[in-house]
Amino acid sequence: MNKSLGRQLKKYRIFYLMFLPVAVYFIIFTYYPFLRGLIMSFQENRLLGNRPFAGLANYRFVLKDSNFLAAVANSLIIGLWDMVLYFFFSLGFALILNELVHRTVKQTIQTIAYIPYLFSWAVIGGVWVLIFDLQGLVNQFLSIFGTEPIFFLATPDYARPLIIAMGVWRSMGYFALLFTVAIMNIEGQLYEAARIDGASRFMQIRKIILPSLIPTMKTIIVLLSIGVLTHFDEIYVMVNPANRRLISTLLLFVYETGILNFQTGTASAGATLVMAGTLLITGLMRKFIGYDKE
Amino acid sequence: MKRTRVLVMLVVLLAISLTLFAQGQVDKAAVEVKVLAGVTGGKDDAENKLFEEAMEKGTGLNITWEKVPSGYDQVLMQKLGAGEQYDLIYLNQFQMYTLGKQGALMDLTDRIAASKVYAENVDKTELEKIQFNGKYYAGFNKLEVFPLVNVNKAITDKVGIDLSKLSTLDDYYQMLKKVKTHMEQTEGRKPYYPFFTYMPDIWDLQPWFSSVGLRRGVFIDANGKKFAPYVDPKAKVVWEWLAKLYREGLMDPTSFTGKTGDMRSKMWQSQDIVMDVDWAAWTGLYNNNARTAGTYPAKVNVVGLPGTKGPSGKYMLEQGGASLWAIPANAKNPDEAFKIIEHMATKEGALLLSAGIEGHDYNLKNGKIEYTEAGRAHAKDHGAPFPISKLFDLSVLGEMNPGVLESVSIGKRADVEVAPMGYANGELDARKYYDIMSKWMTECVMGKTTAEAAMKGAENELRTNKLID
Amino acid sequence: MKSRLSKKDNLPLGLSALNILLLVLVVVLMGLPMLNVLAVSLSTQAKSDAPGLVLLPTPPTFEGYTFIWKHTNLPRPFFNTVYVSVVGTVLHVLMASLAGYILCQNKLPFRKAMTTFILLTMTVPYELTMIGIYAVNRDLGLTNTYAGLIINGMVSGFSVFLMRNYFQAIPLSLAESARIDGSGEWRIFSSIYLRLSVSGLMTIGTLELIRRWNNITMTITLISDMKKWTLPVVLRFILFDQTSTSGTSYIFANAKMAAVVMTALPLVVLYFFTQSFFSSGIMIGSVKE
Repeated sequence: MNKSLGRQLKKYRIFYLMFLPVAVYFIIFTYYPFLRGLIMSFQENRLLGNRPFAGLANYRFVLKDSNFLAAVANSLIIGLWDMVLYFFFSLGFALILNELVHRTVKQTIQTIAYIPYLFSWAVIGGVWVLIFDLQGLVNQFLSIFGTEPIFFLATPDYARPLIIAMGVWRSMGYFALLFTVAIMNIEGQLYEAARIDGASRFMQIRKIILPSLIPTMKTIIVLLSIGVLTHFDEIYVMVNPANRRLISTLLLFVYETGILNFQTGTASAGATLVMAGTLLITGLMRKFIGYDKE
Repeated sequence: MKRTRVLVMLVVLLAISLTLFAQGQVDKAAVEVKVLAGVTGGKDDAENKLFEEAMEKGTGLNITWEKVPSGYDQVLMQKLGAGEQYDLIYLNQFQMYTLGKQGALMDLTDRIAASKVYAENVDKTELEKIQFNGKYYAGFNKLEVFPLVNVNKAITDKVGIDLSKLSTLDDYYQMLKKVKTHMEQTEGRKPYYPFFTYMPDIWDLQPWFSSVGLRRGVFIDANGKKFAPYVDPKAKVVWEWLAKLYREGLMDPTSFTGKTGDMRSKMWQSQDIVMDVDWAAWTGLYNNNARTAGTYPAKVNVVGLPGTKGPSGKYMLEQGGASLWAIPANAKNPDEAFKIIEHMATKEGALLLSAGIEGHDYNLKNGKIEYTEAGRAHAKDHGAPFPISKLFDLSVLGEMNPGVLESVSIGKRADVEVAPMGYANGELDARKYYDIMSKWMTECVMGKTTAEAAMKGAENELRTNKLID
Repeated sequence: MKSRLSKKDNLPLGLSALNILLLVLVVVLMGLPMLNVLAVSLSTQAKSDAPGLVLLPTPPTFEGYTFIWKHTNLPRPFFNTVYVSVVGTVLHVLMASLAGYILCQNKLPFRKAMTTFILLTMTVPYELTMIGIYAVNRDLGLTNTYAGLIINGMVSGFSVFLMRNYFQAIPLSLAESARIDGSGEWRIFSSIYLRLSVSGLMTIGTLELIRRWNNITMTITLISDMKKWTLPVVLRFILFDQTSTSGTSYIFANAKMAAVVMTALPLVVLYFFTQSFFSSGIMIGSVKE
């Protein structure tokens, strides 16, 4: 057994050599800073000079904070909804886009769908506020049907749906691109064969395109699950006193309680907990969809 | 054999380079004063270099003026956290408390007490505002102004209101009501919401709470107990007054969701509001912007008002949190750093931090300042539009924006008190305080709960979060 | 050989119509904010700052653009951004595809551990590393250098996993037969895997380029020398820092939005044209005979 592993390692040594630069990069630029952060989470809140160790005090402080617990719930609700919707909307969009024959039209539509991703959240937040304002476009549209203006931005019932919709709206084109590329890569012969069998276009989508996309779907699900707990920017630009309770997420908590106040220990402990949660979610997803099986 | 030789050579090389490196470090450190600055300094790299030279000339020191024009707070945290050494750093009052508590700042109490420059130039009352546990951990960057009530007189004149007579909550209520009626019925602008107040930070409510003599923030009473005046039973009338304004369509709903920028453009640009609470400097900026647009003073003529009179007969406003200079505990050249702090409090320093650099931003002609194109673009602000030195005469800077001097001088009136924010001696997590207060105030103003219930809710939440006792 | 669907079957009419309807909806929803940004940037100073949503500039003017052009020295940050983004992206694509290639070697011992090693890096929040990252860059002398901006983000888990995904679509038999023919791994990697994954490379390249183009956090962390600033940092400076609370200069919305458009426009054009690569890049099926 040992011998065969040794032989295997030797056989594959070129791969390990090739992996070296990547590993070195991650060790220096991710793992080392991470380690420093992790250590800081067990130390007193001190920006400058030596930081005495404080045991689990920072974790206790964070876990006792009622705002943190509320943020866990908000993060999970917003994050999971976003994950599911990002996935289905972008897949659906890639599929219907693929049915267009005219190439320039297709390219134009795809570009437009991607554009929201090019703008910063600050710009997008500004536009959304205008659109969902009391006298905004949405209310003007609703007034055609005689609806009283709705104060979307300050009505708690709309707080989370609005944030989730914003995320979907911005990221749909991004993930759709990944699907589109995968669809393009499907071998032409497969369609050819199906056509000979007399399969309709609809059947082709079901029997050829969707199964071929499974590896891409798995990859995207894993990537999305990593993002579940890390929503920050869209919250930051949209938060107001009326919706804060419902949309304040974990990273917003870390930012406001820790970073803005120079509380290095609190910030690190909070961020470490976010990471632990992310690992849990990603690990579960990885198992659930059988990502590592080939 | 061969290996050993290589090893020896390597060690020798390393030793040599280390010595060289260390020497270089020492030589440089002896003379170089390292400053980390946020807004204060030149507007771009070239000008920042000139600013650095001007500062060197003024202090006789060798200075590196590192300016972080964007994302300063983040960078400050990263640099200090990573153990970077600076002799002088720019920070706000809040950060001063936090870092002071963490022991990251040098105690400047003795230096400030002994400073002739500070004794001559800095007002005692200003100095008291930045005290922390009886000590000083920083010197001034500039004189802070304060938010006050800004009213567009061009509109209120049409309705025939004497602004100088407004001094109670009801006076303001009646004024807003008259304006609303006029705008909606005579000018056909429906709906018209005459008042905007930025709710997320509740930072501009002080002129109204002044009517019951209460201040924003958290304070410590004689028994060492922390308390928040805005949830005092006496404050109820103000909460109710705000709710009434909203209920009757006098307060712009965008107050809850908009940004300060929205408020400002509604004020001078579209005249969608007639009143807000904004910095004294903005009285001038409103008018100046309107002048550029050709609407001053016929359509836009903003004037500053002190708000409402309290039980003691005084108007109470709140000063902005100070912007300060502190010396980190690990600084190598604290003496030199303090010299820079002192220089910024002198008349010469004041001129540099406002008008800018002579020969670049302005030229002196017969002792009078003549601005260059660059100087005009920088609008008399290189970190301190209102310098801290009381010996500095603002009028040497030339013409100011219309209305701004009147607004600033309101703070000097005998019946006006400009109080510092209640940070409870640095014990207050202000972000949390804002969040809790603005949340409950929003509930109350939007009419979802009574003022009583909202105040109770706010009080409870402040207590569970240990912001008050 | 060119068996790519030259003639595609069509959906039944009803579905087709529904399809087009949905696409129109997407275009309207996605295009609206863009239209707003564009319209504001082309408005006059006064109109651009008026409250409410603007969708058509009346009358259109380039005031905002000329203001920004005069007010800020844009060519310099523009070239900084191009340089840092392009060089960084090329490096990134190389590294990511290398790692992706390694991770798709089925029988490689410790493959799962290596996968986890990379996956883990994606779960670390920036808030946890921000001080450490600055310290590392300072110790390596990378602050205030272009090299710093290029090296940070030289590879990312995100791109590695996407590349691995694209590589997995390539039949292992291709590599096996090349190995039997005596090709080295570098050769197999470069002449089979890279050649057959042009669309995948273009994808992660485009995404990375856009990420780098818009990256603010890293630039702010590393660069305090304004000469080395990139476009989005200048943009942020114009949008936020210059109009802070006690600020004295006022920048109108048309100029702000003009800056937004000028920053995003190169990317929009680039994105539009790279898409023809996505669809016409060398296809796996076309080489496999």
